[in-house]
Amino acid sequence: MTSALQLEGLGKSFGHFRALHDISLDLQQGEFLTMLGPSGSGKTTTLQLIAGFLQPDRGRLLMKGRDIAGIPAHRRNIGMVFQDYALFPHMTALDNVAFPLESRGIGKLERRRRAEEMLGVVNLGHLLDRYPRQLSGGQKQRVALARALVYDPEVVLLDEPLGALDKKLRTSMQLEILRITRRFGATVISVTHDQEEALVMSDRIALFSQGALAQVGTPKELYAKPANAFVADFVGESNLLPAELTRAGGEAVVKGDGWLAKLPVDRLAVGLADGQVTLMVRPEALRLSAGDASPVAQRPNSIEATVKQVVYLGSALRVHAQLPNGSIIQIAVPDVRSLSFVPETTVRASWDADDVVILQA
Amino acid sequence: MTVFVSNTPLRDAGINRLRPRTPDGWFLLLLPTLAFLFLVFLYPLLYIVGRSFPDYSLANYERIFATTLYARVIVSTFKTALIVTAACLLMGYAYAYALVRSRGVALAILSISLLLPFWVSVLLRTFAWLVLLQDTGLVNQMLIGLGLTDAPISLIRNQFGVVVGMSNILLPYMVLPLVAVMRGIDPNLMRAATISGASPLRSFFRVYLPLTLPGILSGTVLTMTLSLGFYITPAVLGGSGNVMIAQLIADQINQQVNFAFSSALAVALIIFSSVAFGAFALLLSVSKKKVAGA
Repeated sequence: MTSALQLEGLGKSFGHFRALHDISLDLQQGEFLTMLGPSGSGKTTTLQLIAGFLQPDRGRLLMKGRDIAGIPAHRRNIGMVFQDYALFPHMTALDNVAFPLESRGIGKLERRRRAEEMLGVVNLGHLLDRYPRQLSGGQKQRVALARALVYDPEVVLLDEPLGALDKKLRTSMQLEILRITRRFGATVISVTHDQEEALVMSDRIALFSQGALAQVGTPKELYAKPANAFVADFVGESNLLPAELTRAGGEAVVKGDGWLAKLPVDRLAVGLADGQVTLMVRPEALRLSAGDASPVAQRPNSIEATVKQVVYLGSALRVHAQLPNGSIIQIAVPDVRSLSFVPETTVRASWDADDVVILQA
Repeated sequence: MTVFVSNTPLRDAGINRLRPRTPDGWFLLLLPTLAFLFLVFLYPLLYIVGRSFPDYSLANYERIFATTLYARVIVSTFKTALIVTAACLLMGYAYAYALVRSRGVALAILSISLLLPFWVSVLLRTFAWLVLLQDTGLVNQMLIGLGLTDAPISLIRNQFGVVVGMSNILLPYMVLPLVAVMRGIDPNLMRAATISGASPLRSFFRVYLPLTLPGILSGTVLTMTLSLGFYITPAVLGGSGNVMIAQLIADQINQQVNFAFSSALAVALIIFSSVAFGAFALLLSVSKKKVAGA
């Protein structure tokens, strides 16, 4: 595996505002990486540095081992799909897709053939002569993708590619983009603030927070082993409970307000010290049973709560329950027929020791 | 067939109910404006056309075409207007681009520089150019002082002076439509062209320029129309060699008191301008298709 793109300690400031600090990433050939994060976290700035629309203040940018700092955007051979597609309104779909080939001095017949073929791949072979204003959002998206892929770029950048589409179309376009980019073996960097999109599409996710990388890993790693509370909160839904950690022999004891968790010490992250911590447990890792008011010490890995609200989601139920200290936890109940959890009843939510993550407070 | 016929009105009625219906009464609100336009614009125009044919004779028009002086003035009017429009387009395009791209103080300076002279009377500005460009004026003094020339260069009483004066006055009419169109262009389009591998030059000619064509068209038509009827500036800054048609019309009214002939000159100007604009619009729509289809 060769790395298609390397970011080494990239930094960028706008005036006194440090938009990015010390971003290092290594992108493999053919990999689909998603840069995820809330708005203003630096993911778009990173994308613009890679595209060449901005110049980094610090760090290096290597494409196949070659420093591309001095190479202007139009010679970087990078493809890009813009959030609003940025199709040329005065050109047909075919001319839009042929434009990058035209810029590369490819003859008229050849570029027409290749643009037609590419539009065929994105299933728009029948709309070659349409102007962008005559295309639907999803169709524009396909033309933009075809234009970004037709010249076999080193890296394809997707800037919030599905942001402008409605939910249903978004789901089908996610799979469609994957199918098309995989077919060309393209190396892709996608930017999004939609964590679900990131989980579905990515080989790896780079999660940004306040201009720095919070965690880089596979969707599974980010979901199951978040490095900190920010990651746990941003990727998927989670219940975060403040607690105190003590180690006793091979066992870690996590004591919270009215509950107790026990887990093997080797489940703790390296370097995690005893003292204030946060216990993270996903809503779907919690099981509900009737409340029994048993002493805390007798029932480790569970917590008693009062049901406040039951939300019907169609395929599942979502129970919001209040802890004795007032905070709310969420529990996913897969069986929609289990209607026994009515508001104001006391329930016990329990978890397996394997399903919790202890995070730095 | 009968089914379709009976269905259609029902469906139409349904659609109409959804759409806010425009009551015919609203049209009445336009009446004052229409009456005003008719009284002060359309009626006088028709009156002038009528006056140009005294006793239904074409004599006045024959005179225009038979006399080389008038033909020369018409040609020279169009030539001056074309040069001024071209000068405004070249300067105005760059100016509009700079204005659209700038922010903060730069934007304020560019906007004020453009609009402030707009509020100063044309007469005043024309005389200001006279002061600047005359043989003993600032420009000639500077050229002599720098040793670039020994004797003053004639900068007024010729076409140069007229073009400078008129371009200065007409520049905003070119810049403002261009700014309006340029502001509407998605900046990502230029980025899309760049990332697609287009050099800055290609991005400009294949993407930016075609998208600004509507602004070029309206700016050009506006500037050209205004230039063709210019009176004060050519009168003050021009010489006998570059009289413009408006001066001839004024002369016919003020000196010769020949309303019929001046009306004919005015109608001739309208006709020539319309033909010129028609040809221009045609040319532009053809070139637009060419750019889009390349």
